[in-house]
Amino acid sequence: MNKLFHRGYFKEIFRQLKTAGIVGACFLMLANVTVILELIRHRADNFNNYSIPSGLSLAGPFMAFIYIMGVILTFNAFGWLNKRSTSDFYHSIPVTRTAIYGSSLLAVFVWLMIGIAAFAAATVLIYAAIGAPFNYFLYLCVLGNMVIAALEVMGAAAIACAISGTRFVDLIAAAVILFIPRFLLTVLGVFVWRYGHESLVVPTISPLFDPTFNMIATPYAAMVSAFGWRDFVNDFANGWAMIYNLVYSLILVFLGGVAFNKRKSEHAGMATTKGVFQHIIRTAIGLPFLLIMVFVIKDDGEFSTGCLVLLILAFVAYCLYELISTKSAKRMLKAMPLFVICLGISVLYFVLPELISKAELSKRADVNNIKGITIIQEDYYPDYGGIGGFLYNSGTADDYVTQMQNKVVLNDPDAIKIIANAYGFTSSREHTSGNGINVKIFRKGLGGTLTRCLTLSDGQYIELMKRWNDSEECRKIAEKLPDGRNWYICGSFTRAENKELGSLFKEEYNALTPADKETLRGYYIDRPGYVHLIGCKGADNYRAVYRLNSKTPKTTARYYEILNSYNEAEVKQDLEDIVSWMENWDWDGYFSINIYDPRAFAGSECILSTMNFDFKFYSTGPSELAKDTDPVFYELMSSLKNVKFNTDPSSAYLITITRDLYGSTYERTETSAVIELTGQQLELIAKVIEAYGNMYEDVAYY
Amino acid sequence: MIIAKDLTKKFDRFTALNALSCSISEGCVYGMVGSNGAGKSTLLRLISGIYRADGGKVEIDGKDVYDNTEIKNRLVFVPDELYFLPRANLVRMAKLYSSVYERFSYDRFKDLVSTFKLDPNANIATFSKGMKRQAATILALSCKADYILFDETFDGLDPVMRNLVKNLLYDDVMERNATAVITSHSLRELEDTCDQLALLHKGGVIFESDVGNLKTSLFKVQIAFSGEYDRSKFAGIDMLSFTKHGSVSSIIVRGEREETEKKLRAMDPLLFEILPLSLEEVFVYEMDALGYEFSEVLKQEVE
Repeated sequence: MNKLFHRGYFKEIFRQLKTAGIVGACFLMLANVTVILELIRHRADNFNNYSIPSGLSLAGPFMAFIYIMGVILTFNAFGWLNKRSTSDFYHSIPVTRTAIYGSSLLAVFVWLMIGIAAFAAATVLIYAAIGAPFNYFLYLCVLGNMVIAALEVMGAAAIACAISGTRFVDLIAAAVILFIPRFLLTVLGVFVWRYGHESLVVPTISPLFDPTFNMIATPYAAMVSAFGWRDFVNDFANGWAMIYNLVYSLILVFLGGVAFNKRKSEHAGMATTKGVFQHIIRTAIGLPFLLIMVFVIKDDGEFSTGCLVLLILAFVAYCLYELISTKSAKRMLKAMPLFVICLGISVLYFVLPELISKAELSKRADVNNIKGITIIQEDYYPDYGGIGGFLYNSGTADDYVTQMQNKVVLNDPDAIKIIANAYGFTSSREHTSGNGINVKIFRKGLGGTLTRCLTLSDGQYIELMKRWNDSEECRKIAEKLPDGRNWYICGSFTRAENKELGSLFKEEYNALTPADKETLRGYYIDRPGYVHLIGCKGADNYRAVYRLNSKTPKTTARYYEILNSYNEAEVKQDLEDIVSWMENWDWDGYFSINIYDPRAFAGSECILSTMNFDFKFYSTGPSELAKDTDPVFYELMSSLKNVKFNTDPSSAYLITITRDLYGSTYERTETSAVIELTGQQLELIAKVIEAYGNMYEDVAYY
Repeated sequence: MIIAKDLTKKFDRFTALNALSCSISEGCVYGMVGSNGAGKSTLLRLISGIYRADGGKVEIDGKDVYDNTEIKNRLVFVPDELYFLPRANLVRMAKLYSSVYERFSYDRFKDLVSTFKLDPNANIATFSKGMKRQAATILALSCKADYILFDETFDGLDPVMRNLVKNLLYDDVMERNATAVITSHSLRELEDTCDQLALLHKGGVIFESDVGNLKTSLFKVQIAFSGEYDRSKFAGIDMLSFTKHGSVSSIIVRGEREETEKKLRAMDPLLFEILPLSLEEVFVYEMDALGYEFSEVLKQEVE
């Protein structure tokens, strides 16, 4: 044990890292508290956005801090390697090199764990205290990723310290080890995606192209929606990616140990311990510029001036590193010819994407070897297939039905036949137009799976969607209320009121026929009159939205009652203010009004939206009052000023008034209530729409 | 016992030690002298297991030192360039030493701190060069090591402190049979400290001897005779050097003092006097005899 770990030395290094460790842990905890409170406040303000926090919102920005903290602590633990006097001292003490390495790294790791524990404690305590929806399993995965990230950074920084002899090279080497290998793979993936065949879904070709597997990039790729492949928000829960990253991190830690053991004390102050390391770092520094150059050449189809600039930049960066790290112009001159290796690697990026693309396309998928298919639906893309109405239109991120149906494997022979035809058709053409659809194809035997974006004709598409939607598995998923841990949220009400509405809805929904259930399927998350069911199943967070109408009378009546008890007075005041603004030249903000008919068909509930003619509210001068310039609209508003509030599901309408106030700070309030509309008022609405038009496509014209 | 055999160490193209061999027995104070770049510090770093030899081997009590915690626990090395933790005081440094050196004694540490009259709670960074050397000595001696390796031991110490350090070293050697290996580029520093001396030059030991023997076996004779005479008159006496000015000759003789005196007095000289040689003079003559120019080997010393 003494050969691998030295207790005394561990305690000593732990002590030496105390300041950095405590500062890091405090920062992680306090910054996290601030972020969580802001997250909760933001969600409480707008119940439509109320959801279980994703892995990304819980950890993304903090992962970056873990990387920084890991590098700082590791550099501190091994900082002595860079100075002759300190290097001699630590190499003279009676502790084996392996034990120095192991004990130092463990001290760093323990401090990082303290930081992560402080971070975790802050999160769990706050969520437990407030009782806000929270996915503990996902959080465990997030923490697991943070631990792996800590290991990965430690390993990379330790290798950097072991192979270099100055702080400058330490930093550069750590960055190169952390980013360059997988940067090269990711860029290759992006090149295949961009220049390979359009049917390929690149992250599924190899995990190495999947940003999920690149822990360093994942959270940030999600933040900037990079790659355009898919949403990475919850990819912290990808078990295979975690295993991959853990193994990768342990390999880095092990290699760090090997390099540390081989390192000589006299290397302190030298750029790198071996010429080959110096060459690798130099090359890695020049490569990103050259890859951008390849990208530009491939995009433009020519070698432009910009490419020349990039080539020069790559060469300058390459030489500059050598000059700064070795402080020797002679060495720089000697290194210059080796730049050709850098060029050679970048040339590979011209050829490899096409080779990979061809190899993928050569994989066979026909009627005889397809076992089953899964149609992959995406959130936010309701009309995804090109012909509306067939793919389930979720309209929300983390949609429950979408998530669940994406796990269904369809074995229908006709569906398989359609996919097999589309596979052959799509793969054999450069560019195709039609109905694009993402399909995961399960092949028989050891064929594994292929994920492709296939092009279908209208006929094929309609047939396939019929098969898909009519399948028992998909139907069951769509009809059944989500299970797992979940919370019902209907508005900015008390927890008890939301709970009461939830149980009423559950009871009424379960008693409905499948056809009735289908009419309740929600489309819009930002309207009143919906039940939001947010929950989690394993690491996946989900949201399901259901309409409230006469099919669920008890829930709807109670919801209306609660809604009006909160908002009646405010809505009345808003309506009076609008009329006042139209009558006087005196206004200090903007209004918009939406009125919904809950009994209308899904997608056509909005009967009035003033979003595109809200200027009609405002008088443009003392002699040009809105009541005179827009008499039709004024008549409607004057009538609505005296509106009656009604909670009867069979006759009530929902009204939402949005008010934007520009004072010292911008403020937006959105208030909804349930009202009664008379025949005359409905006629006035129709007149207004006829006069001004309506912004929403789904507005039902009366 | 420390044994170095054919020890070679290279730094890129520079050979710091070239097949060096020497042996240092237990319970002695072994001095190494040589000009800058002679290989003294490199040899100490090889003995203390900091460096790994490119060729040959160095063993302590028959065991390889490199990465050997058992042996390293029995030796302590005080380098020429001292290391202390940033903003640390002596107490903090003692904590560091005690966490890695099994034999570190806080009692000894306290004794030494009061002997040197250093403030254990003061920031070492504020210490003078000499005080820092004292602090390093305190820490090293508190490790109660069997082998104490000092590089440029007395650098920055005033004469009083030099004596104190020397006495403390003697105590360790006498009481615990410890072995001290100390280096200096100044021969005078080591003259009255060491039992054995080695002269290093260009990565090799060119001369190694017991100091007591050196001083007694080499002496200077001033002698004069009434008639004409030359070098041949002294046949049978081992002379390293012979110079004659008029009737008076100066001879550097190697051999038994009493026997030589008897022989020379028997020649009935007009003047006869035996003068002691400084260690430096002994080195000059011994090296001259070996064919080395002393001023070349110990440039610093002469300059």
